[in-house]
Amino acid sequence: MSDAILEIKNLKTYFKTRKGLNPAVDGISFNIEAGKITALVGESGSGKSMTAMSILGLVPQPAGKIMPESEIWFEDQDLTKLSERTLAKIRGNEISMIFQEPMTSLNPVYTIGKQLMEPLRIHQKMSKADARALALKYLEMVRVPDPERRMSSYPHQLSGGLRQRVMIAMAMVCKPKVIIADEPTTALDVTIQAQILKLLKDVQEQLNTAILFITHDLGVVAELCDDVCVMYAGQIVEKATVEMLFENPSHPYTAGLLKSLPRVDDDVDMLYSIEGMVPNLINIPEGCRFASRCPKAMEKCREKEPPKVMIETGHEVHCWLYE
Amino acid sequence: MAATTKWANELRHIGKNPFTMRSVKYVQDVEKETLGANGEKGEETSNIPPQNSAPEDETMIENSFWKEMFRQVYQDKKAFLGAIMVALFIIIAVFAPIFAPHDPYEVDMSKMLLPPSFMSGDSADSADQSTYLLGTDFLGRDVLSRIIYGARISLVIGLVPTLITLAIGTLLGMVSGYFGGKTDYLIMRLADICMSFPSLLLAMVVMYTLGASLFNIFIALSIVNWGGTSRIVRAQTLALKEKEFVEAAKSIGVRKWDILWRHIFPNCIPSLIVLFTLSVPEAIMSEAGLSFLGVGAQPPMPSWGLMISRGKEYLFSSPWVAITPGVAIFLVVIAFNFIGDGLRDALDPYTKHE
Amino acid sequence: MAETLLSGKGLKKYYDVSAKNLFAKKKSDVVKAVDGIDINIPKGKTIALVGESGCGKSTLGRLLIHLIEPTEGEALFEGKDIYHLKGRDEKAFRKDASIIFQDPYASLNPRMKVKDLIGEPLLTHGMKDSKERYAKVAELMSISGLKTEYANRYPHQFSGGQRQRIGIARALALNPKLIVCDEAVSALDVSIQAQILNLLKSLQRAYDLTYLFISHDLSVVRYISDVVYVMYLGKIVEYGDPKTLYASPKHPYTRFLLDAVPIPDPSQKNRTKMIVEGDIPSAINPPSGCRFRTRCPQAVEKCAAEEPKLVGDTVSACACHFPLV
Repeated sequence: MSDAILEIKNLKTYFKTRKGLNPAVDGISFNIEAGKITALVGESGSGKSMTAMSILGLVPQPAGKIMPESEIWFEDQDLTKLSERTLAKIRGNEISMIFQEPMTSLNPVYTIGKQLMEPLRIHQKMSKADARALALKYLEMVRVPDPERRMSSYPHQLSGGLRQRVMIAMAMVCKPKVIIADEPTTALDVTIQAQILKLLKDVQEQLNTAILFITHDLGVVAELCDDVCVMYAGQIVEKATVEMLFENPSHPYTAGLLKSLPRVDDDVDMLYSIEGMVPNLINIPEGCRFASRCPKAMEKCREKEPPKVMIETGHEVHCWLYE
Repeated sequence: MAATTKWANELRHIGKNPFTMRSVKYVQDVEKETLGANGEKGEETSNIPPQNSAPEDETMIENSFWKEMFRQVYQDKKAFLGAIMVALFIIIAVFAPIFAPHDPYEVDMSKMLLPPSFMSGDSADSADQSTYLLGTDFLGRDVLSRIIYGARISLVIGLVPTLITLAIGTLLGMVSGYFGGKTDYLIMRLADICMSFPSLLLAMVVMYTLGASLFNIFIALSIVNWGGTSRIVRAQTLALKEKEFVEAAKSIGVRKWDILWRHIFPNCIPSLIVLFTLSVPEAIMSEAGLSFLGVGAQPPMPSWGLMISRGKEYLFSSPWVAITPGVAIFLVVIAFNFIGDGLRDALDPYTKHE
Repeated sequence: MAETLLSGKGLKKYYDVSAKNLFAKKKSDVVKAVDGIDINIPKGKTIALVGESGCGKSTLGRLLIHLIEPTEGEALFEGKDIYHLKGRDEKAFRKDASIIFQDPYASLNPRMKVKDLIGEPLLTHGMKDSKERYAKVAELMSISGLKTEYANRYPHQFSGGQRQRIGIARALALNPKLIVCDEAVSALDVSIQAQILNLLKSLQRAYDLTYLFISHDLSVVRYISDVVYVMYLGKIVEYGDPKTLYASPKHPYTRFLLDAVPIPDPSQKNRTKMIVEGDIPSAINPPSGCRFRTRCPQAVEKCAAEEPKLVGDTVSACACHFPLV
């Protein structure tokens, strides 16, 4: 795993709430490799978005805190130990982000052009003319029709799909080494989603960027990604390449999730359904967090946290079944 | 887990004291979660035998809205201070005869304009001066007693017109917002007219035409203030009537007035509570203003505004006569404002769901 | 062929969005949300309306249970025109048709207890006795998979999936014949979505319900429906039973839509799929002729000049001048 560009080790992000400590992200470790798209899948409340926020140092303050034993290694620096100022230099420049709802992350009072040029001017100290030329180039690359005119448009004048293209251009413009995409296509229609996914793949191949793709949609994972980490209740339950995961889903949660998906290419009479719902993380009981919903749960599962088991090279499961 | 629930139940019965509200709330949360965790498994199994009668476990979760509100006020130091001050104010007003050391109407020209006892200190020349804690006015009446009795008037003036205003404003605002069209236009233009007059001037006009009396102050203040309330309620109604739950009610065939009463009104209550706490001091101030101008309460009624008005002639020689009722108004108004601010923060969905 | 429960003929819903500015010249801008749709809902079946945002599927659903007034057209429910019902007939229709909404957070009044939320339809339709009503509420709760102990709770004390169960219990309260499910599972997580879909399916079997299932998710639609109507910009472009429709779509748009759905199987990653270019045009003054022509790779002049009609039989039909084989 020498070409890991971002290494997350034992990341813990806890939240203080009125009712107690909420371990939103609880000791997860994974790598993001250059030139690959790594997926972080999970249902709402699994901690996948908070993982992204932790990497960027954007954990909501003062309620949230990255615990001291966590490490996030990026180019020989531990991001969790950096000052806010150094982090701000990396953010948007070497690690950038694409959000779910572009309208909320684009400033409505500035033109697209100005917003595209801003990071170039700040991070790379470019002249106005150079920045403009580069911004135009990137708008062309994300296939925004009529980029010259779009430079002087305001965000509300664009459709959802176009806005997401602009967001991708903005994320790419500083040639970051890592892009974190948090549900970038969830708010879009299927046909537009297909366009954006294809675009992301193309652009990623061109620039050889690493992408951390956060989603709840297993279909998108299968279409786009290389590696997958499945999260459940703040922890990673299974980690594998896409092929291995879909071929041989080993954690009962992953397997159940795949079986409960209605398929567009197949008929099913009755869907499999995972009983119950995600447990509340505050005062979570001992043992495996999925135990209360797991059809294969054993006595041991409710008592001790499951071990990490390598069932084949590059396929890791946190489950007592394979011990 | 069952043990936790049992333990929670026991604790809940102990926690009746309003000041242990916090711990009660906490216990309920714990209980909620443990219940939830228990409930998970059974969620999908839909063959729970239907119970014959409705569940009667009323105590399980009480009106969480009011509880939450009290809890928020209790935690907000400013609002809590305000609440204590308002409570004191109400107690003093209700039990005025017990608290007042003298008869507020008793005239004794021999004790005219005595300074407060704490000001004259040990050089006091007369023994019974010490019984006039805040001194006497130009007719020798005890200022403290008059302020204590004045609290009654201020309380009534603060509550009655505000409640009338809220009732009128809420009704018209809801009707205006929900029905729209011509009704809306008519009501809102009427509100505009009422709001475009300087409020004190409008109140004075009403008082002059109807004559100066306590009852007429109610009418005057209600006429002046309903417009603002109806605006706020109308805006809320407009937002609420687009909500899916209103559409859901329509799809069932619920009649318009039932929708207003059952769905729109309860969702306006948080704003109305804030509005109420912020309108009470306004009404007290307006009454003081009207009385100061001589069209409000009439002498010898111990109204705070009237006391300032009559005391202003002695402002330089005997300042306590005008200043002490002024301080009373200040304290009451600020107490209500503290509560209002605290409640606004507590009931604002944005600050609540962080 | 099952007997028809509800049918719409020539349904239209236009919204006037012209700028009524004092200074600007008045432009007539009309959103044609639903533009001349015929639909037939047979008893005991699930009819799905699919399409992307802005295609008018929710508007059509609301028209069909008379939550909004149509600009034109009629809808017959058991032979009676629902837009001209009066008094007792209207009340009876409200009893027979109900709706489940997408957002389980917005569709439940936050200030009402669960027992009153589920009891509201009963109360509205004359069950004044509270003991009787709450007994029925308890029954509905257990049918929908809710614990009856939760009757005194408020909606915010439930998770999304449980709230949707409350919505279902409410919709079932009056023993309806038709339930419109407006994106009823779209806001839910996959594992919860499967629970709710299965619940809807078993309820249909138990109570002989008819569903009008509105969704943008083609996988969910395939699972639940008997007939699929594909909508684009206020028009039906194709309908048919899901098996044939998904295997061999006739309208180019249906084909694009199906190809765009990601398949959770990496071995199919490199299947041939067509990706449609461009954005959905605005529904204000939509394209002439065939509305899909602006994005259709095989569009010719005829497509702009002449609007294609739905051609086919009662089982399937397609509105395209050059249908795919």
